[in-house]
Amino acid sequence: MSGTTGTGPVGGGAPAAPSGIPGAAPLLVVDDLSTTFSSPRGKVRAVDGVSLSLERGRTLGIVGESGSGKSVLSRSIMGLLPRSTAERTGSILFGGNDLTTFGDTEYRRLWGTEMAMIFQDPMTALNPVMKVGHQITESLRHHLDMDKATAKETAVELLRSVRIPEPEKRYSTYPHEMSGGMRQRVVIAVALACGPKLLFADEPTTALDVTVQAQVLDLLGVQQRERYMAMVLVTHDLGVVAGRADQIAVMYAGRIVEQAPTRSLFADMKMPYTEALLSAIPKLGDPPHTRLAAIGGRPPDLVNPPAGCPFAPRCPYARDRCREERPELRAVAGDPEHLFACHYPVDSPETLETKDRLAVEALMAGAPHLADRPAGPATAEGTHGR
Amino acid sequence: MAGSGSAHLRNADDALLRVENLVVEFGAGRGRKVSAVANVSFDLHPGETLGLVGESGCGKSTTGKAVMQLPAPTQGTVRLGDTELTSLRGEALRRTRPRMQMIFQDPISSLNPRRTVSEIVEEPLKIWGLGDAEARAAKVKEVLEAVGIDVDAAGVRKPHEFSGGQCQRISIARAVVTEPELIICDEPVSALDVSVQAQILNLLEDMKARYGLTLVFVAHDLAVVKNVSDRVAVMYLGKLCEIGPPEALYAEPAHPYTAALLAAIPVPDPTVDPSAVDHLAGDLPSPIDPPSGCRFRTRCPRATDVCAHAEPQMQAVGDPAAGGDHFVACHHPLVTPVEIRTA
Repeated sequence: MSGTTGTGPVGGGAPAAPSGIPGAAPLLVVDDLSTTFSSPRGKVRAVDGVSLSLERGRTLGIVGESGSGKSVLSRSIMGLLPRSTAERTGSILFGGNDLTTFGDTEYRRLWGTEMAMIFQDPMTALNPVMKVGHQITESLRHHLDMDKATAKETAVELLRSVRIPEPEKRYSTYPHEMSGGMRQRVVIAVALACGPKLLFADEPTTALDVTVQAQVLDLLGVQQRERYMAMVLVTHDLGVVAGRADQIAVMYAGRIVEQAPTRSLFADMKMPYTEALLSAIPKLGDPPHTRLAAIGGRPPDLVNPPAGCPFAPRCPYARDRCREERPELRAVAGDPEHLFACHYPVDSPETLETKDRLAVEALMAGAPHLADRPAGPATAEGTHGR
Repeated sequence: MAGSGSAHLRNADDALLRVENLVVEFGAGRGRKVSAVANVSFDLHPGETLGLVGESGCGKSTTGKAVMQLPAPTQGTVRLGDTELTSLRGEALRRTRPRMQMIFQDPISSLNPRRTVSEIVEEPLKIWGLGDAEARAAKVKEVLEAVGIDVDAAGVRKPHEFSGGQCQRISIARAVVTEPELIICDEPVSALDVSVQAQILNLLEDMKARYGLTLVFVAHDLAVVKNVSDRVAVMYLGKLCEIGPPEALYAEPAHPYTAALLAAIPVPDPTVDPSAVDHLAGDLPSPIDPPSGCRFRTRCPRATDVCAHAEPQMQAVGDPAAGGDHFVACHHPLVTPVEIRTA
């Protein structure tokens, strides 16, 4: 990422952001957004110079580990962070307005009708003492000024459209009477109620079983197509976004470290972190007891980020330059939509040489596993906060 | 499945753990009963890892806890080595505790927040009066180092100072410190990031080799289960559907439910369109009033009349030459049963 210099993908001179529909202006243009929290230990830059853009009808997948800033990024755009401790710089253009200048009053006009969010835990996202129908009609009555009867009719239709069986009956039940998958459908119905143009789904299926996850993701895809919404799908699982996002941004330590249309990302990975995230997933095709390629260590302390590339301390291919000089986000030669921030991408001669050396070393040591131990002394990672 | 039977059990003399006809029921008020685990049987050889998979509410965690007698099962037998656990009560049951340990899903809440790491790991040794202070300290140092935690720097710290992955390492250290024969791992990596998940799965494999552990690994992620298991058992609504070696079970799932679970896993490959797959519809039925016959029939694409009337029993499937260790409880399995093939 471009740090604070503002030369992100939509900044001046940088490659043009990928566009879904030729000629259509993007619905959301984030330029050099940084979100900083004040903490007793100092400033924490949770989002660091992020630039991206998104058109209606398109899905952006944001992928990263816990603490990579992916959730803070979506909450920054949604204006859901406490203004007393979270400071935003840069610009967030949404339908022509700069949201960084918006206060709660202005945001309240956007929430529900223009942008909405689906949260990870459907039990805490719903009000436990309010019938689910009422939770949908509440926003319909407030934002769209519907009368009671129309609101109820619309709510039942919404429940039906998110494939809740017997929607008339379900309208009058409480969240605790439903399964996790059903609750998440209700949360989706609440989010869709006022027809938002932009939908954030923050780990929408992490709390659900695989079978239900597949149902809910299918449902989100259908609703997005029917309503022509822009969607931001935040997840830690590259598998979830692979078949469902048009483009993917991989975040690390508050920055975008690789961003590309989904197919180019998987076909031609540049950033060692993206590669490591993908290799860490156990593969169904591998025989049992296959040693997994874990990423040693943990993300850096954002109060005192390392001087060079933030991934360098955990990167098996890091060289001296990586520890000293922060790599800027740049485009792949011949593919202006594919951006990455790495001095020695996975297909560079230097990294290929390191890979060969590591493979030989592993063979010599008789150990088929590479980086499956914490990078540094384990205690160093366990003592954050000191 | 959603069936019963014991055709899949092996020679009882070889088993470290043998669970037969396990039933766990909970009262649900007004005389109703939740049938959480219904007639489940399985066994484990020493050094083996059994993966127990299924959706939330299928009874996999309850099965793990029933093996630990937490609480004791409603019916059935659980034999650990030569000890029949279900016949034990009070102090006699407590005496078996160091032989079996548990690792929980949420690593942070399963550690006492007011104790230091060294105290947490030492506690089981103190309770069992194993060794003097010096020997205990040496043992704590050994297991903490084995899980990748430096006791000199981290031993005096408290759980909140550690990340989730680190806390799970401490939980593992605490579980192995009494050198148990059996460890039940209840979704030990579900709360972790993929990168940390890989570290913990590798660590469990290391610990298994180092301490000769036998594991029951309860999880909902089939790819994770395949990675750690020697045998995989698939559960649905309190019943066992299918059990077998991971290679056979994943390559040729015999139960329609196993096939549906496998189809639902997101593939990290953008050329695969996940919405083109027919995903299993609906939710798990209520365990208060489970479907008759095969419990999976209400969601099963292959269900017929017989599935509503008769409960399928475990039968061998697949190639006997490949080990003959693959069993399914289904009237219409996706792989031909052995008897029919030989007829």
